[in-house]
Amino acid sequence: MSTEKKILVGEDSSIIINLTKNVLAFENYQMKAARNGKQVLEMLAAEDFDLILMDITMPIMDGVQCTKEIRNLSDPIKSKLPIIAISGNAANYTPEEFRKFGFDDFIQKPLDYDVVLATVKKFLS
Amino acid sequence: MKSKKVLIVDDNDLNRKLFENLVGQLYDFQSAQNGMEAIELATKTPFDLILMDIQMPRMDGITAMKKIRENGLGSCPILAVTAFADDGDRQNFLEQGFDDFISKPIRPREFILTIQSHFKKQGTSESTPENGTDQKVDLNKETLVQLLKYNSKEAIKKVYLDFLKESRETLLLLDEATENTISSELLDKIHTLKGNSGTLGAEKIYQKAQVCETFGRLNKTSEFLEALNELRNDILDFQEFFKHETIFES
Repeated sequence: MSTEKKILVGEDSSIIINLTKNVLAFENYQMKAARNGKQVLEMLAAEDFDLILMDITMPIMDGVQCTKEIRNLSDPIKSKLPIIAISGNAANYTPEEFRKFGFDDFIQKPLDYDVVLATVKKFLS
Repeated sequence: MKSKKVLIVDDNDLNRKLFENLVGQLYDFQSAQNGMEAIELATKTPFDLILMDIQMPRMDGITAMKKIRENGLGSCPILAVTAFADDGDRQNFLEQGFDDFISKPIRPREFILTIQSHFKKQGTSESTPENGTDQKVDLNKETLVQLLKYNSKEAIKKVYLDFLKESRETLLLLDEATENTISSELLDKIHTLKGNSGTLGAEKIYQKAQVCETFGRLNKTSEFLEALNELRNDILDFQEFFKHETIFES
């Protein structure tokens, strides 16, 4: 039996959190949710995860700032975790900009869950 | 079985991979990195649809599209996929001979729906595209079917009920919006509403929220308030619609 992969989702909408949890569970991924970038950092400090899905627009600390801080962590594993941006304003950023921010990939809202799963799988298989 | 074959033409690796991921879920595809390659592939294989980047090395998308047409290599729809985005550009691409236009960065669902709409046009002779595109349904059934793939009916119903509850809360905020204030709190709510409605396939709300957010961020107050009014009606419509939606009854 393989160990379940753990995904941390930074997202302020509970609707998206619930949907995403079901979708990830469908592929046997475990998921925990943080409501803002600050909470993402706190949860990441306390626990190990295999991948982070990060909404760009969040209160308190947005996804871009949070990703920057994760990339600056001293922990060699946590600082290099795959981080996938979830963006509703993707029109504002080019793929190159997402990479510059430190994201490994990006998904656009409205979410297409086939795309979400395919993207997550790409990093976790 | 995948019955349609799509040709993806783009010189950017990342874009090509993204398109391949999306298209590959529904259709067979082949990829080319520039216009020359596209023509070579089109010579060997008949495609049902071609997605054509415009700016590419060796041969650009407009030239490639024209050559494919001139040489009778494809009467299939050829869609320009490009970062040029305003209405003038769109008109120009259609005049050049493209069947449609998708602007980059793409939105995955719209991207797929645009492709599907061209296949539907091929399939039916009596289609009336003018009416067809204007009559947006409240709930996108394809989105719903996709969500039901991963969620139980019960779970999905709960999500929609949560969405309605949240929409009602947003409505209260909308009611407080007055002539002179476009608060960032309100814009954030609309932004969330936009993301959620889009993900759940509440198409009308999604489109109106998008318009609202755009005008709001540009501080165009009168346009914003007008769109807000329509958004309010769309939320109420969706509530009403959902009451009568029987898809969740088993």
